[in-house]
Amino acid sequence: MEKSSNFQENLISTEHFYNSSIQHFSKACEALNHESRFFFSLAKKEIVIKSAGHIIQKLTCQALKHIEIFALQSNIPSLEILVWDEKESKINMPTQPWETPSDLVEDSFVQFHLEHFFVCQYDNQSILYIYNQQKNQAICILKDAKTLNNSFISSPYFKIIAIWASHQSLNILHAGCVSEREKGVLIVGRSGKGKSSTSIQCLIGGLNYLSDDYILVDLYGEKPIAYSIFNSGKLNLKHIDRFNKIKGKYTEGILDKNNKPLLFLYPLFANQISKNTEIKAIIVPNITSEIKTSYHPISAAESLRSLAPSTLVQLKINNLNHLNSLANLTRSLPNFTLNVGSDFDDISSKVKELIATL
Amino acid sequence: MRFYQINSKDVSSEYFDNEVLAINLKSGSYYSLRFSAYSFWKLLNEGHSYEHTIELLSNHYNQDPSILNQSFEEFLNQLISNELLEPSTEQKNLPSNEWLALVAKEFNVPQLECYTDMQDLLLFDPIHDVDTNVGWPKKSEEDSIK
Repeated sequence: MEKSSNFQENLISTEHFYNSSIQHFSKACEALNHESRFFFSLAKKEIVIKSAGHIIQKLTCQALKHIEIFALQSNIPSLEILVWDEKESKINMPTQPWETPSDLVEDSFVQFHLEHFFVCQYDNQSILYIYNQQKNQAICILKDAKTLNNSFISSPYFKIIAIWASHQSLNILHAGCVSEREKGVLIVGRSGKGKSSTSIQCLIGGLNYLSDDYILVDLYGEKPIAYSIFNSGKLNLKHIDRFNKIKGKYTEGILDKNNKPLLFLYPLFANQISKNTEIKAIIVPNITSEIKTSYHPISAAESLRSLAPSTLVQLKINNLNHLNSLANLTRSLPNFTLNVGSDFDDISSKVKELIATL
Repeated sequence: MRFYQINSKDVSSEYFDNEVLAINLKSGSYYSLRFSAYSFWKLLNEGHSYEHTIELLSNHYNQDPSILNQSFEEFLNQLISNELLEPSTEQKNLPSNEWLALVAKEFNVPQLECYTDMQDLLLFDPIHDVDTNVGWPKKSEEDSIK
């Protein structure tokens, strides 16, 4: 279909906004007299985050510390993210050429694809991402880094990483992931169904930990592989005191909308934070009033009902082919429901027992 | 002859053993279709006309076509009102139906099992996607009506 002249004009304006933003990033670095660089390796690909000033780096890279590398091995990174804080640098973003809907509710996402650009604004328009697929480069502009909420700090640059991953034939799933002896299990279900509690209890019980919320997966290789993105974890405030080892270790600050404080599990559990694992099964937790935890097999369809809506809707993935990838994953693996009991120690024991059968 | 197809703009579906899982990414709702609902969905999406689908199901379940027609007409309206299916003008060549012989012969009234527990996420964190012909994230008229 032929693109309208409006479309072409808007594409030119977006290109102009993007190029101006790169210049503004340089100005922000000059204003603060500093540019920080943070390198990390994700799914065997190298990513660099360049930020104007120290504050942003400190605030936004803790969740990625476990996959940090100290230098790039390749000349060109797979993804480069430039980020600056308008308030700290006093350098504002260029005038945005698109209109913002006038009746946005709090937490609305405004996002659009325009040829090779992906733009996303959210959190009352305090965070803006613009990703240029042609250049494998993204810009992140923050109104005020000090007011970032725990959702951003726990999973920084998530939207950029998600869109970049989709161009690398990688998928992000809304799932926890733990492993033992290189055998990993995905823990799936929508928020509030016990993903985080199960994942973190498994970590405390001695299993390796990759995620409690978002995991990157390669579903197109010989075997499905999970890659840890963030070392953060979130637990309900009323549950956190039950976890003695992490009691008092969580980050004070604004709680997220589910009243969950933020934990960084690296370096606290450095030896148990795993960067990748083969996925051998899918577990759907189901919190029960029983004391002991138990598990039993479920159908692939039942497993997909927990994995797919949560992943596709929560991650706002408007890619209908993604369902097929997820369905194939559930068909190719054994699926279990984990009836989670109130004896916390028993949760990790049962998951270990289940993994041993795989 | 009436033909229908999946609303491929917003809906994706997957077949499992005797179950279809469909998700409407626009509304955030997802659906399970089992038993006769599974067969009905599959036959229509393979390109059989509504009328031929009723005939095939009537033979398979050994039921009076007029009784089946009543059940499935109502069910079809549900699928359309949930924006899962839409009318189609195309008839596919030689749609298959060999698989129908393997489906259980006991007839159950078709049911659309609807799960709406993800809708609050869409309402809480709505997405305003651009109309690529316009190019900007203006709120669409459809959104305004909600």
